[in-house]
Amino acid sequence: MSDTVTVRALATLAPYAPPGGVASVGPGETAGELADRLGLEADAIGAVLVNGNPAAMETPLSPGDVVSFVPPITGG
Amino acid sequence: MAVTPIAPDAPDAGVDAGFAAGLDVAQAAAQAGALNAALAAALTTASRELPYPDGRPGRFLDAGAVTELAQRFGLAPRRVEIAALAAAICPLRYARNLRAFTLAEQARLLGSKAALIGLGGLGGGLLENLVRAGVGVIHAADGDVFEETNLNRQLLSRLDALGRPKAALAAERAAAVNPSVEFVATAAFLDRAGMETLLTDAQVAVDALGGLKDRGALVAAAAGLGLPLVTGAVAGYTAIVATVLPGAPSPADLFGGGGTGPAAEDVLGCPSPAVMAVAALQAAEVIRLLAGRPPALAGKALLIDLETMRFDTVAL
Repeated sequence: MSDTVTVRALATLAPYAPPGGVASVGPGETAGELADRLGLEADAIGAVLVNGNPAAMETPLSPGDVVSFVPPITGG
Repeated sequence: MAVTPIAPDAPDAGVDAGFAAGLDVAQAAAQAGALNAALAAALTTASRELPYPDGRPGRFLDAGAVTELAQRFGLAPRRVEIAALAAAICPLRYARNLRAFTLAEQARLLGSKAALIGLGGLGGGLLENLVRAGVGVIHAADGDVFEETNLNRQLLSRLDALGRPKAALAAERAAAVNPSVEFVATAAFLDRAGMETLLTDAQVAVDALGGLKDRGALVAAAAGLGLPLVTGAVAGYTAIVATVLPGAPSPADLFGGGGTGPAAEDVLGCPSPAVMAVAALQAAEVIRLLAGRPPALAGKALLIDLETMRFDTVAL
């Protein structure tokens, strides 16, 4: 498997998704470092999910992971 | 301001009336038994046999008969429907629920109470679903009036009702669709104490609030009363639905965020398909709970992206 992760950037974060929804990932790179590289500001992110599970910006990523960035969602 | 209840409750049978008339327990019970026997006979006479769409034989009671029997026996209409269901007679208005709910579950719905906070986008869609399902008692609150910007998504809003209280429109809608539902709407924004009053005797609390401001109070009020809370939120085509059990994490803890920028929904808006979808998903969970089934979304959130039609379940 190549050293990439699938990125899902939802709602207001969608413009920051990488082309094709796939980003390279370096050894030991964290979700927060990936967010930085994509231009996502930390205070715009409500939740980070890795493979559908709640994660932190410090969570290290592995090739093949699915990383979701979700803004705060509170409307109705 | 409290909107007048549509269908004030009535004694379950003759027992309460018997006590009121000064009868002793045995006389009251005998009177109740006679009433029940008379009601059972009247239900049989007023109902008719028809097959269900799958060919099973069925027996049904139409809305006119429910109204007539309620008046004749001095009962709330939903009590007539509950008595009918106990006799395996399905009120015709619930006939197409078929096996989605058993007759016993339908009766349980009619005997249940939901507390609904908010009568805007989510609340209007929720009310529509809960009223049609025959949730027996719904107490709701919203202090807002309709404005033109509500028309893109709020089911209860109408061009000819702009400026009118959402609570009043909700009461009109509930009465027009299913007068068996005892609906009471309070035209006020509630603090935690007000929410606790609204939630009293309910089996489920339903969060149809917009924004984060009051959600914490609602989570606390529901938890304090030991009630499950079915919650939902929308921003653009992204949405979240979850059930919060007392003391358990709320999706607001995970998805509420502490960002300093504008809320996502203030950038993307709340389009009708997302709002209606979330209202329907919340309603399905509310109805499950009121029917006596276990929650499907306890301890997790459904994360919905209608842009890609992706639905994911996330542990909270």
